[in-house]
Amino acid sequence: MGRPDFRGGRGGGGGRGRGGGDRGGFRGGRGGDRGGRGTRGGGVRGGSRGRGGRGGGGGRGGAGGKKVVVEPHRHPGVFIARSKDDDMLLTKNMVVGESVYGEKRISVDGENQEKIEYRVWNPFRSKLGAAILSGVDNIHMPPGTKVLYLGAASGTTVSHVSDIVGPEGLVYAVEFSHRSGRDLLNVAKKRTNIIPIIEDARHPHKYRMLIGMVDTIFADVAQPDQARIVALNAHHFLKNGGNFVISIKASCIDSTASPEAVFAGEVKKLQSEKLKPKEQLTLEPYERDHAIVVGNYRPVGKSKSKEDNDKKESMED
Amino acid sequence: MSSWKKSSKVGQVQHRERSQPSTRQHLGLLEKKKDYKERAIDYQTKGNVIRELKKKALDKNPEEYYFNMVNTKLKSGVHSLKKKYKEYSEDQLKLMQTQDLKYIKYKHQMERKKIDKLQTSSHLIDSEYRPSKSHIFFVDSQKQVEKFDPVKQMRTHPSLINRRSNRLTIEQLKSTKINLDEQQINKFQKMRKKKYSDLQKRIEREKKLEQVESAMEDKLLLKNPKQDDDDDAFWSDNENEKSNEKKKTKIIPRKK
Repeated sequence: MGRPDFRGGRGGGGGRGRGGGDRGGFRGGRGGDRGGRGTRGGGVRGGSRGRGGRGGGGGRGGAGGKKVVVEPHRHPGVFIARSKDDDMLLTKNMVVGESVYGEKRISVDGENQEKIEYRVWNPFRSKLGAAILSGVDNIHMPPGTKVLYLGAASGTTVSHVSDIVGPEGLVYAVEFSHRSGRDLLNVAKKRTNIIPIIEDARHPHKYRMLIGMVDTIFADVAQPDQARIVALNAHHFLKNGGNFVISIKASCIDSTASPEAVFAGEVKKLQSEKLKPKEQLTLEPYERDHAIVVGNYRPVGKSKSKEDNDKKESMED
Repeated sequence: MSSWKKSSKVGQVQHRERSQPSTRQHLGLLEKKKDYKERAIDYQTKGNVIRELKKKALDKNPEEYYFNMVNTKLKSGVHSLKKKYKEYSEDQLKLMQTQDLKYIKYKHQMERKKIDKLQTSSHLIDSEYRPSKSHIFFVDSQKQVEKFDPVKQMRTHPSLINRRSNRLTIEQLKSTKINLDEQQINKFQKMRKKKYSDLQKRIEREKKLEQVESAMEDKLLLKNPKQDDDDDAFWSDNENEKSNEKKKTKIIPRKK
């Protein structure tokens, strides 16, 4: 019995939507519920791709369109849009004119009258997005960073990370599941700064030939031995003084203990692996019993770091 | 000229529907088009269901954790909540008494879809709800704890410290030109508030519908229980062991 054919009926595999990119919706895809949720009608000015063609071919949807104010974010590469009835987290779209997973796009006039296109980043579906809106101090992903992304899934958040690090940066996206790995490959086809790796993150030696040293590790693997997985990968690929960002799902590690206790336990585990946590925050309105821990790997010598601190302080003064 | 049409048909031979020839009687009734259509549609719908289920099975990540793994239990072939809801509001009771399960399911699904849709465009930026102790910084010594200043840590302006969604750094504030129309922003904020309250109401409604749905499903199960394929034997919790012991004690006197 070969691979079952899902192309058959309506709402099948979703190859169509992704390939052309000019059709709304991207029906089917992963987990059905995502199908057909493209924006309808004119959406925000120009941006929409909902039912293609309506509203003047997406040029300027509707007369005047909606007024959107886009403000830059603390973390470079991230933006926040506010309009009459929306407020949204955005990243600047690297591949203009294409959505990755059926998300809304917004194009806004830049300073020199050129169009800048943004993609909406849903914090209810992405832990990194939720962390940013919850006010994380540092995500350590400025443009040009090399990021190792563990637990990439279908590549939805990965695509936003690739937007953030930009064409100079790199995202190594590791995912074990073949099924979501296939979606990840499709994302990587359009974005040259993503390197997809379909392997188990527990065995970094299997993909060590593909990855150089990285500046930041992001992990969202939702496994009981997450700390160990991150530590293993950090020992292999993370540079000294590099950073890590981990999303922890309390119930995944111990469903009986209180979330706070689980987070504290994980932080202890990280400390024993030379991963030094710097901050921890919960993702409350977006995600239940989740926390993001950000930290430093093998921080460079104390005297040196102190000097750095002093420099920073003097700059602030 | 309908009268002509009618009269011209008088002498016509009546073509009766062909029945199964006697030689083929052993094959049963002769299938007609309408029968075939029924059969074909049935075949196709079943095929579609199987395809959907296969797709779901492939999509499923066996290592993903779901709360229902802990909160529900398989009983008589159906998953039901371990801790049943006990108190229902008047509206919920009315729904249970007057509506059927399919309608409730439909409404529940609709509510879920709408919430999903709202959440894609309203990202709860700077919502008021926030539990305490949500943001922790780790420092090396007690001295640093005493000296700790969130504004300095975040390298931001003191007035932005409570604006979680976007605390711009001092450097950014100096370098970027921000010309915001205060009036417009305030106007936007008011309008968004409305949307958020809508979202919140929908979420509450969805929760209530979920309770009603699970209660009605349980009731239906009581009426016509499915085949007995409990997973108790396999997942022997403490509870199950106790019940097994009870059974044993009941059996013993019968043996005597």
